[in-house]
Amino acid sequence: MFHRLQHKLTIIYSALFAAVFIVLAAAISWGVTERASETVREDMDATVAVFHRIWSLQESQLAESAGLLARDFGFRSAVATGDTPTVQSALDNLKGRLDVDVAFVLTASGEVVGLEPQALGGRTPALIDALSDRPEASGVGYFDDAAFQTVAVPVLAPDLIGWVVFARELSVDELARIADLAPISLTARLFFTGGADVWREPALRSGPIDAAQVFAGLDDVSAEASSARIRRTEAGRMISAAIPISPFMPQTGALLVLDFPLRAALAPYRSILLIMLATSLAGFGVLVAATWMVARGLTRPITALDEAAGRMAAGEPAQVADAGRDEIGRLGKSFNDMVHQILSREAHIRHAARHDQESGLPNRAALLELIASKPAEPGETIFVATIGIDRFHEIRNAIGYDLSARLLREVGGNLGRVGRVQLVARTATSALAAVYIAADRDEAARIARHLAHAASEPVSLDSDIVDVNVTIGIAADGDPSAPANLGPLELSGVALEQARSELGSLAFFDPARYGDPLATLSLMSSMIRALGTDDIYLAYQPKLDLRTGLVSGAEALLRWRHPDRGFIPPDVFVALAEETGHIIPLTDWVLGQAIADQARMRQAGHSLPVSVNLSGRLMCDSEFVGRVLERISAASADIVLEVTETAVINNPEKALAIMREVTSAGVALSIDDYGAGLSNLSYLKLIPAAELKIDKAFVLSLDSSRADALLVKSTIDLAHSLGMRVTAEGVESAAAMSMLASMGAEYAQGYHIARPQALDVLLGWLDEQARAPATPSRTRRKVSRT
Amino acid sequence: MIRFLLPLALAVLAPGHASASPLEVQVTDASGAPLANAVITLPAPDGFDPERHRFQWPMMMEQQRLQFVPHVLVVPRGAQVEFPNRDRVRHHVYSFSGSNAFELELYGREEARLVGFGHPGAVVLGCNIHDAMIGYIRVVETPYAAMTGADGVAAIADAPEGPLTVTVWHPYATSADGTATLALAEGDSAGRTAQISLNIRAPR
Repeated sequence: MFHRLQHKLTIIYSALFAAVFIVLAAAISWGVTERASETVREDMDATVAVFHRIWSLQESQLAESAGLLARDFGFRSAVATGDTPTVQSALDNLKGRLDVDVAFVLTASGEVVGLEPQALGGRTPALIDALSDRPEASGVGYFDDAAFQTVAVPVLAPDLIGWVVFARELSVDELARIADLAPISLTARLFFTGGADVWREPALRSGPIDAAQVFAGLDDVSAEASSARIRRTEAGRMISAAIPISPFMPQTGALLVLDFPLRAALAPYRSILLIMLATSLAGFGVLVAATWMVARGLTRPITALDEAAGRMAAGEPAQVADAGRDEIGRLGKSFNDMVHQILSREAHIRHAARHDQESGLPNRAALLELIASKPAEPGETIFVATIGIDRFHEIRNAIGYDLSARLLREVGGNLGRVGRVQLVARTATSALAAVYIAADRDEAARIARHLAHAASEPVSLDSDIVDVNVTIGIAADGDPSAPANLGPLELSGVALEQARSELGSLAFFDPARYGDPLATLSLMSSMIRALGTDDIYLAYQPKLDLRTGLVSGAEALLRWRHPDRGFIPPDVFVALAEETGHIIPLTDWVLGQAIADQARMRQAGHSLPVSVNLSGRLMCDSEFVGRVLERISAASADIVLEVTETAVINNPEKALAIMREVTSAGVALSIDDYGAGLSNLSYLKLIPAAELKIDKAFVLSLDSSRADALLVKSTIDLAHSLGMRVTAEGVESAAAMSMLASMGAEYAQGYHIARPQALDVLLGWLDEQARAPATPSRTRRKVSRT
Repeated sequence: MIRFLLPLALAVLAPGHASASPLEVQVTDASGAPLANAVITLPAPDGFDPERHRFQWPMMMEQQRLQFVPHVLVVPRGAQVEFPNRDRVRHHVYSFSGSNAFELELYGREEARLVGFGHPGAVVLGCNIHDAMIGYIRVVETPYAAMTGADGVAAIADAPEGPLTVTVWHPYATSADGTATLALAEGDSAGRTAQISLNIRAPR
């Protein structure tokens, strides 16, 4: 209903006061009216009593005068003898002397002397009847349109022969005289009815009046005299008494009505009532104003609190003014405290959200925020350098978490002092990142070097001094060659990895090296699906016996032609398969396919041993190797298993035991890619291999590098001395082939002989070779010819 | 006993009539109460001269103890009625009753006055000194007249035979001339009391 407390309080208090005042005023007004009315009623009752006494006194006087006349012998004689002139003269004489307005004689036979008979209005017989029963009658008579106080006295001669009637008019003056008897200024009015409830006011010579209206509020006018009462008339409210007066003539009636205006009765109290009303109105005004002010004083701090809470909700800082020491004031103080605490907590949360807890440096979120705000001027580029602290875990293990956090803070501080650096944040456990602006890549690299220099300053922690080495990866914001899903921070992280893998100290993000790592995430599942389809197949690279010039075998090599991505290098997916464990199904498939393909070669008339590469990791899996051996023996296949030296590094004893099982099962082992990795001569002598394949890295430059030629020669000699035959890989020229032959290598494999080719192509090639069998001389001839 | 025998004697002493019989009339008021001082009369026989007639009761209206005694007196027309004063006070007797009006100025104890009443009718007597004194004289022109006693009965011993018209007068009767009449067929009254009632007013 009310939207403001102030209005509510004001209206409620005003209404309450008004209600109390109205009730009080009504009570006082009622009491005053009642008291005044009571006074007037008492006066009026007294007046009525006086009136009755006066009335009867006058009546007695009239009756006495009339009686004197009626008893006069001569008068009686005149009446009895019908001496009308004498009677008339006697009446006239007395009228003048006794101040009687009407005097007449009514004889028992109905004659009227001294008054026109019609003045009695035809009531003569009824009057005679009434007077016969009640010889000495009195009351209000009505003759000649006027009302009279009338008495009748019998004329006895000595029997009743008539009545002397004396009457005094109840005129306006006479009624006023009656009213003057009262202590208060009454109005007296006399009413007369000739019957049939038709009333008139004779003093005013009125015609019939509206009795219902004139007598409104009075008691039943025919009843005995009643006490005064308040009534409403045309002239206002009156305190009235109605006094029935006995009529002189039968079937008539008379009523004296005394009126006193209530206004006059209340006049003495009017000033009191007015003062009360004025006081009340003034009090009401004061109350409204005071309530308004009190309510305003009360609600202003609440309104202020309301508005402050609204501002607070909107995130603006809000405080309310001091509102005193009462509850509201304390509420305001509490509110201010609460706002203060919320703000400080919010600041703390905001700080925590944007800072690394450990080092206190800004965190990744703060850095991203800065990048998102694009602080660079037009023509400049934002660069992000991720500064990887080398060997951070070792440092941390050495000095503890707290000091390493301090170390990061120090380094961060040093980085922050490098020009153009906008922010240094900790973005990973062992990495900080700096955001800076540079015009181009060259400047970016220059600044990065400054960063590296700044980061590499020795840091003094308590008494210890820690040397810090860093590697930096740099990426530019908005680099169009970068993958869209990575931001500059991630790219700089990748660049850091790239720099480290290159053993460099600083590198920009290289999208070419980065490749498409996203795709490799789904490479294995698509590889498993591709197994058994034509997408993955085995290509065979023939191996030539340098001594005979004949094809002595073939190495099965995995090929995957992806329908979408094209040729996928085996390095990529085999390495991934090794890491993910998919190497087992892959190797299973290769073995099965090689066995099947060998069967086809055999059918085509080419019985050749087929070499299958076996992952070094699998060499420790005796169950898997056992299954391989079973399948080979079950198919009576001629399979050579090629493994690298690394197969024995992790668990030499077990690997060597399994290798011995393989050889004892009659399957030959071949050491692959010898020389590419870390060769361990102690293991080499233990591996029960029948063949050693020299890595193509040495063979490719055989004819141009004397050092390589020396290495190859000594390796061949080493293998021979350990009882192994030697195959040289990567033979791409006749010269190399002839050199290898001269060095004593038994077999050669390479593009010069044949590229790895699909089985069908291989079969055709083999057919061709068979039709023109090569000889060692021919080979040698070729070599010599080249 | 005397009152009972009197009519009987009257009847015997009335030789002029071929036949006569006693008549009894009881007068009551409207409520049936016996009415005393009522005067009943019968029409006079032809050739009756009231001035020569004498009733058997004295033609006297005494003033005794401020009262007229008797209250009602029946006299024949032309009778001279004596008004003796038996009181120690003086009286001033008057009557305004028409032709019989008279006035006896103040007269004392044991003084008597004679007044002749030459006209039939009722004469109301008053005393100008004592308003309470009131008496009535009924002047009649018939020999057949009687007044009721306390029992309301009046008797006429020698009432003539044949149909009769009985006239009853009472001072308080409300009729115009204070009378009422009762018509009796021949033999109606034989051996019994005739009844008549009058409307009367209260004595003033």
